[in-house]
Amino acid sequence: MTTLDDLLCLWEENREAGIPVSPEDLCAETPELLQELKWTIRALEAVESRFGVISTQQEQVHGAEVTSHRLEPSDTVLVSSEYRIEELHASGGLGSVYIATDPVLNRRVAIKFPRWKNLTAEQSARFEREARVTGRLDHPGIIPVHALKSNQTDRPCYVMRFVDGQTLQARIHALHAGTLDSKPASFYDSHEFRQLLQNLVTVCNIVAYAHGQGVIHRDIKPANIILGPFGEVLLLDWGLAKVHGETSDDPASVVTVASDGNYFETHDGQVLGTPAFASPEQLLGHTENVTVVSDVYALGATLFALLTGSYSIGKSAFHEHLDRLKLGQRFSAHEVNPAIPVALEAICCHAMEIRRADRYVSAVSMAQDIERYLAGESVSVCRDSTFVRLGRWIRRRPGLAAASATGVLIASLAGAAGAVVLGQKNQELQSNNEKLELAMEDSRSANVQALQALRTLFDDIVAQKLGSQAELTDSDREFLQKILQQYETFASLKGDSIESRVIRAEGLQQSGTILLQLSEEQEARARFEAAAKIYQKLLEETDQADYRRQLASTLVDVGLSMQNFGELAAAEQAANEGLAVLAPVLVKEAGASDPVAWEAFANLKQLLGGIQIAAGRMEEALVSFGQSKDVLEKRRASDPESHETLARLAESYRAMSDACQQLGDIAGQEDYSHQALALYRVLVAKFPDNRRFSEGFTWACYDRSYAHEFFERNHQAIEEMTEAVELAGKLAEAYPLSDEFRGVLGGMQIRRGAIHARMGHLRLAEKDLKNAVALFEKMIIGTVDGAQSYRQLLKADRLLAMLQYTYGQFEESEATLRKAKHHAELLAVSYPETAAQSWEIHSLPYDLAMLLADRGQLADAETELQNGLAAAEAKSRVRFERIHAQSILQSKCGLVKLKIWGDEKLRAKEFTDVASAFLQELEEDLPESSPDWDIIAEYHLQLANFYDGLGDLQGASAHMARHLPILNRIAERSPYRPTGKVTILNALIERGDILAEKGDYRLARQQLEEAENTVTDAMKSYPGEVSLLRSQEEVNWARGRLLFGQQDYAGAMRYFDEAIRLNPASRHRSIRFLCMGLCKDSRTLSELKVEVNGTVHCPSLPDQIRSCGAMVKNNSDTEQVSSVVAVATLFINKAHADNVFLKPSILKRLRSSAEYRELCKHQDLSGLVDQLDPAKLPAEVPSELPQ
Amino acid sequence: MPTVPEPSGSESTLAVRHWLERHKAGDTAARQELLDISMRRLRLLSRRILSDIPAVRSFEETDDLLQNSIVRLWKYLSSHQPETSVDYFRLAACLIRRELIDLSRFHFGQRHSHRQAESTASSLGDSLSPAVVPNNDDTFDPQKLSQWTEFHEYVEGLPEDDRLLFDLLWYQGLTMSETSELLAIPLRTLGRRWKTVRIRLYRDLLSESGDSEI
Repeated sequence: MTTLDDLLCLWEENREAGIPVSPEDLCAETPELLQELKWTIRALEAVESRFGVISTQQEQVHGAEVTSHRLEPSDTVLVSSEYRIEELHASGGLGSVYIATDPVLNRRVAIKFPRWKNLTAEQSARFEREARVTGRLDHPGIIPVHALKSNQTDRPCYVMRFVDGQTLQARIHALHAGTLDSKPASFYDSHEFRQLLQNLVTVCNIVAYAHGQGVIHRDIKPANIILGPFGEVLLLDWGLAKVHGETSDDPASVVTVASDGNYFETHDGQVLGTPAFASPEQLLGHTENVTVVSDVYALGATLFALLTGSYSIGKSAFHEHLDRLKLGQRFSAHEVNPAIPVALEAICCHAMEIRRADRYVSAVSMAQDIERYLAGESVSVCRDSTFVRLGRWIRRRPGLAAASATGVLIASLAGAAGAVVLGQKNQELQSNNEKLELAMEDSRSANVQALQALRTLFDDIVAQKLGSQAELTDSDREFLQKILQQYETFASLKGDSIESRVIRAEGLQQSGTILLQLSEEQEARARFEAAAKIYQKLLEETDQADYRRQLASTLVDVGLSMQNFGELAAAEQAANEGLAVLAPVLVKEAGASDPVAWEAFANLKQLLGGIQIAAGRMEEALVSFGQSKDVLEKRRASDPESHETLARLAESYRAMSDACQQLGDIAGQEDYSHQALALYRVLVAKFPDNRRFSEGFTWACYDRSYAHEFFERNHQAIEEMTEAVELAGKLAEAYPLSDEFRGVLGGMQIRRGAIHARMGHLRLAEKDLKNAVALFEKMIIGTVDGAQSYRQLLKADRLLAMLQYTYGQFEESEATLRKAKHHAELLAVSYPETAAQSWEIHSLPYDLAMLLADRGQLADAETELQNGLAAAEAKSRVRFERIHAQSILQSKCGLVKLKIWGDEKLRAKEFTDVASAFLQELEEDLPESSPDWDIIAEYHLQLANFYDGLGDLQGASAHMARHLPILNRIAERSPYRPTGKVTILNALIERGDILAEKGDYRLARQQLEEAENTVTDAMKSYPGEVSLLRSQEEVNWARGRLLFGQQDYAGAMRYFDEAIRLNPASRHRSIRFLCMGLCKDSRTLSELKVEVNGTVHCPSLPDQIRSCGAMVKNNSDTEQVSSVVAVATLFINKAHADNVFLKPSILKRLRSSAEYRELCKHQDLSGLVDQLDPAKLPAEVPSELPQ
Repeated sequence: MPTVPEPSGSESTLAVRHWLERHKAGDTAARQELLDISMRRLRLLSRRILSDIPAVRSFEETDDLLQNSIVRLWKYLSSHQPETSVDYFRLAACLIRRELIDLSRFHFGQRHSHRQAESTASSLGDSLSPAVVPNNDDTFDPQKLSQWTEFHEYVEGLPEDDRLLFDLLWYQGLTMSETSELLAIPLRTLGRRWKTVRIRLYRDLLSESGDSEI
């Protein structure tokens, strides 16, 4: 009797033999087995498809020889395919490209045919060679060749990936369209131009790759560059490519031009390139000289086209073009448009040099220079004139008369300088020595000369040297003392003449600068103030511009000193005084005629900005630093080599980035930190040992990472933060005695660990956090600022504990928190003031309590909380501060949570009322202008949620009613409006939800409509603001939820669909699935399953079960109940598929919840839920062989 | 487990048998050869999983992921001498399977367990993220990855005889004839048992509720 197994064997045999046989055929004589056979076949095919689990052999029933289907290395496979031609896509010099369809794979391809109909053998070989050359190149910028074939008439063709894009030629044409006039300079700052320039960088890199594979393109031009719809850049048409090692088939004869001028070819019709883009050696027929730099020429010509919108040949004939090349006349884009940026013109010229040896050596070099230009850096081929560089160190002091000679002084100085200089092996220092000698030959007074020489020595040599050190060595100190002595000599110069006083003042100022280097801040300040007094007096006597400049410059030093001493108001006054003094000297156009004055202006603005940041006046700080930045940008344009200008400009940008972050303007922060980073890159590349620049660079990387993180560009955040960590590590190594850098390194490891954790890279996060903990554990012993180290250590402890908790390492997490407690106790003993202000310490009892609670140890958790509460209350009785209020509220709310989790609803309600009363007390005593209202608002919301969960909707509403006005008040005071708007929007949404829960749909709708109007208005003012876009999404979810509550499921789906349109990542929200299940369009369960399983995240299963259970409770609509139960099953299966293991306490709460029990009345879900039990985790690999 | 007499076999089983004999004889190079045979298989299987997760591939190379299993197998071989090829294949398959479970669970499971911790994190008074919104940076198909986890865990939980079939045919990639020889059972019997196991796999892992045989 035929069995199912027999039929299956027969089916498999036929399948292996390639004979299609249907189950119906097999069951012709046993129809009763048909259904089962069908099912079984479907099952086997599904398993094969998903897991690759197949029957691997063809078997013959009588045990004949088994044929293996395993392929051997020498086996060949014939694969055939057909393509259906659709339309001609493009036709060019070498061939025609058609769009075709692969009907099997249902995809579009491009097929290229040679342009000749009746091919000679040679032409056929050339065509096939083109396919082979292209096919051997494997790069995202080169279109892959799928196959080389013949069509029905044996005409060769090759099949490629089809890319539907625009040529660079078309884009250049569009960019330059509309006018033949030269474009202004601003044209070259446009986004579109810069984008095309970036695309050209990509082309350079593609070409470089090909060169690396031994292939020279020889026909690079805008028409052969495709820009795809998704930003991809591709280089086409490798038909003229030359391959290293192949016998060249190029003609030796000089070429002629074809009729349309688009390409040139030999007498026998061989095409060899496009004249406007072909290198001189190609055009002149020196084919043996065609190398990689010939492609560089073509890239330069492409750049020329991009810059000018025209080709280098222009309107001239081909032969005139050749003549020009023979004469060695290079093409200049400036001839076409003088407004082209100098750097780009230089790049273009360098690439298009007539002599091959004068061009960029590689496409990569050219790409790098373009990238430097795009980054705002100096390009390698554009240098300042010698005059500009030489003039940089020359300082003139007009108006100073000769003073008494101090030849001995000069000699001794020269001796001292010489000892320093000769001690260095640096060429630059040797030239400074020469400068020193030159300065000393000045014909002005000897004192002036000596002072100038001293200043030159100090500024050019010493400052540079000291800038690269963290600490002064003994010999450095000794040398500085010598210099100081010299300056003090000037500072104590006798006489009331103007010259004497000026020299005295300068001596005082310079003394002060050196004293700062020697960490004698008080003495330094005294010198600066004395110098300022002298200049002030001189100014009162004679209103001279120079005195104004000097006074302003000195007031910068005075202000900085005051700032260092924490005297912000006095420092601000000094800065404003300096600006007032400078005002008459300054002209409208920054940096135009008085660079010294404008430099002082920039310094004063930076000083002011720093004070404003310290005072929390961020908007003013942005203005101040912005003004400083404008001046420095002008100075940079006129003196791009000045590293001091670059450094101060970078510092301004960094400060502006900081201010924006404080304001919540993260887009602004990103922009400014990007600018700072670009500048620091230049500085660090030039001065890799300079501590100031390295430090600035590190922080700029950190700032950028912060912005990336905020915008959830997590990978980029990791990249930037990794660079910051590496730099910080190098700094910490280079300056081992500096706690500051180690602290910075630790702090950055903490930050990166947090980003890793959020991305799910838990091992990497753990590594970072453990490293941070280890670093800070070392630092708390024997460092100067141990308090800060303790705080960072506690922060790292807490994050590590949370991470371990996430990983399921509950015991390790508890151990880490207990260790953190120990560290907290040490901090409290060693640095009580710092401990009093440390939030990490205050929240530790709460953290530990929550951990214990989650493990079911509710009693222990309560003990921790009660102890923490008692400690906070005791401290608050001594001195009530914000941190105590926060700590008390947190503990009280923690107790509420414990009671809710322990199902002690009455006690939970009691504790909630206690917390509510405490909050009310706090609120009554709080001044209107206090910054602590944000805490009050936060806890009103939390208490509203508690009351909501406990079913006390009156209490919930009452707290929400307090929440919104407070938020409005905070929003009004918020310096960055979107932040304030978002908090209000969140409150409106929350309020709408609570009202809907109460059944007050009309009021709920009003709240949500208000939210909708608010976000629409806000987005007009801040278009594209990310936080507002998210709020807009949330409003749609809320409106959908409202309609869902009213059982208008179709209406709800419309809002949910809109929310997903705004943010596709939010499609996982369970309410949408519930709604889909209940919609009258009745999606099938399998579709819903696909939808559920297709989501990325599994939201909180208990919440999902709660929602489902609430829907089936007392629901007499059996169809609806069935749908909801099915959806609940999907959720549980999804959780299991997502490898979600619920913590023991949560599992227990889920199983005992009323909603879960409701669902189980209709279907037993216990087996499914059991799969989420972490006790089911498999054990470690045994060391013994499994038995 | 009764010792199975070593039959004549195909190249791969012959190679394993050869190196096992050398290993028993104390040839230290044999340990490396056995390791290489298993690692080739593990790499192949790992790549099959990783091909479903392009985003993961960008972080780690396959061999980095296999470090644990290489070390484990090495350690085991340094202190034990599997008697037969079947014993060896079983051990290697077990290690491969555990590694693949870790692989798929790590790259998927933990990514989502942190979502649980977010609600926990907020209850801990702090959050690791400035904005508690889903990470919409994923580019993989979670369903595929979770199914791999299920698959390996499912096999791990099978009765020993059924699991052995997977060990040899799937994890070690032996042919039906090789397996039939190794286990000394007729080819047809093996085929029937293999079909039965696969059908059960389908029923347990891939079928939808309501998808009945009749």
